[in-house]
Amino acid sequence: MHSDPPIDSIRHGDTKAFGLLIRRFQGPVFGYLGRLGLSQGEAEELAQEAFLRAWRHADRFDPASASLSTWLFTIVRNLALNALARSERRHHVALDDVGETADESPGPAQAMELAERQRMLRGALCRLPPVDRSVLALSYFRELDFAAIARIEGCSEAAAKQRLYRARIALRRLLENRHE
Amino acid sequence: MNDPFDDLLARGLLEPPADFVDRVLQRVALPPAEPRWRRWARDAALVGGALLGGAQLLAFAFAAWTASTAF
Repeated sequence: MHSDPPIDSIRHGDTKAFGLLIRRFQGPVFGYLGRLGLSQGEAEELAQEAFLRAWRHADRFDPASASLSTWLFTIVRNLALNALARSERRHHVALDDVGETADESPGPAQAMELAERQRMLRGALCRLPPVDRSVLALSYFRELDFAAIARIEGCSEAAAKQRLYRARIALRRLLENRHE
Repeated sequence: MNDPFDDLLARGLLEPPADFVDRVLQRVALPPAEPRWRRWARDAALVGGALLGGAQLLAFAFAAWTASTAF
């Protein structure tokens, strides 16, 4: 179980505490943005903007109404979905963009296979509606339960579950069709 | 879902660059951009001050001319 960085210190301009917050959430935020089908460059830009907004608006965070992760992911999600809406293009991902997750030093053949699987997965993800993709992407962050996901998405828990079910079915179909 | 893809999704596909925290903290250290209303207020004060100064100069010149031509 992770402990949250002291939000009161961040509100008072403590950059060390803010650094702790970034370290705590940078992995999950990049994981979420990657599962949305964004490239490394786009994810870096959006993640930076999201953390800067969290810094500027730390006084708006109310621990009584939501957890820190729910609040932060609401910022990330809104920025990401706005960016996806602006660029209506589908992301055709170059192999260069997916290289950073091959972290177990596989051989060249394994690396190519992994890169190909990542490319296929990202291609399939990009064909899902952004709101469904977002629920699917959030569901892999274990600290968020359905109540938190629904809050981030601005919908009911039942609607969030429905979106996740729809997204998983659609993704499975897309990946199976690619295999055939 | 296919397990290899599920594993990939769980791993997240992307990772933060090693210097990500430093990059964000550098941007935090920068002074915030000046809001538009403040730029307007500053420009208005500058123009207003210049006009006032010019008017005073003209008034002084006129007063001096009036005094010198009165006799």
